Amino acid sequence: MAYVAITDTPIDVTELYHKLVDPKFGGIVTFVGIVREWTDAIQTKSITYTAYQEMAVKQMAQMAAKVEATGSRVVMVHRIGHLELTEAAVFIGVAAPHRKAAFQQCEALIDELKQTVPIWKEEFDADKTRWGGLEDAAN
Amino acid sequence: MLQIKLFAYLQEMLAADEISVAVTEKTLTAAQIKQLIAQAYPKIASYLPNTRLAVDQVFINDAQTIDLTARHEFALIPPVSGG
Repeated sequence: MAYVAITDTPIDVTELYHKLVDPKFGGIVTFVGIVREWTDAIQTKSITYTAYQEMAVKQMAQMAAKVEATGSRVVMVHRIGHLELTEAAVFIGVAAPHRKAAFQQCEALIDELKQTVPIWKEEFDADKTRWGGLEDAAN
Repeated sequence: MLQIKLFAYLQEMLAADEISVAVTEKTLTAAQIKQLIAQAYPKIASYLPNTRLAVDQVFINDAQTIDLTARHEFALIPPVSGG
């Protein structure tokens, strides 16, 4: 059974990793997205994440269920609230009998999450504040 | 009257986490609902083409028709940026 959550407390990578450990699985792939300082010339100081929580959890659960139907196990957690540099924003873990599926499914899950799950970042950069996803001269 | 949830910069721009628009029709497409929102809230009108409508927490295409005689949860979903 997948473990899916939106949390306002720090992501405990070790604890989430242990949810994937099982004698059935020979390969575990985890992805942790963290708050990065530099994006080209833009210096980020911190990020606030917000979410349409009920919809986000529902979507993540559907994505995880599709992957679990192949026999893998999925853990997906996204943090909300104010995050400093190097804090974990998202954890995606896939355990599968063999590594190939685990790698592919983990990458597909983070790609899909970034494209469709209703979570937004507001970046506090050195020069100004920017909303993620907003292509606007004023942003 | 439709209540529509707002998120991210749309919420900030209107300083509200929910807006409402008056409707008399029994059905409308998502595009028509967005048009009503644009008329009632011109401040966010230029952001709506990139914004998706979610009905009962599911994304709806602009051409899809929504039965307004039933109660739904509406939300405007600007481009997402999680991860």
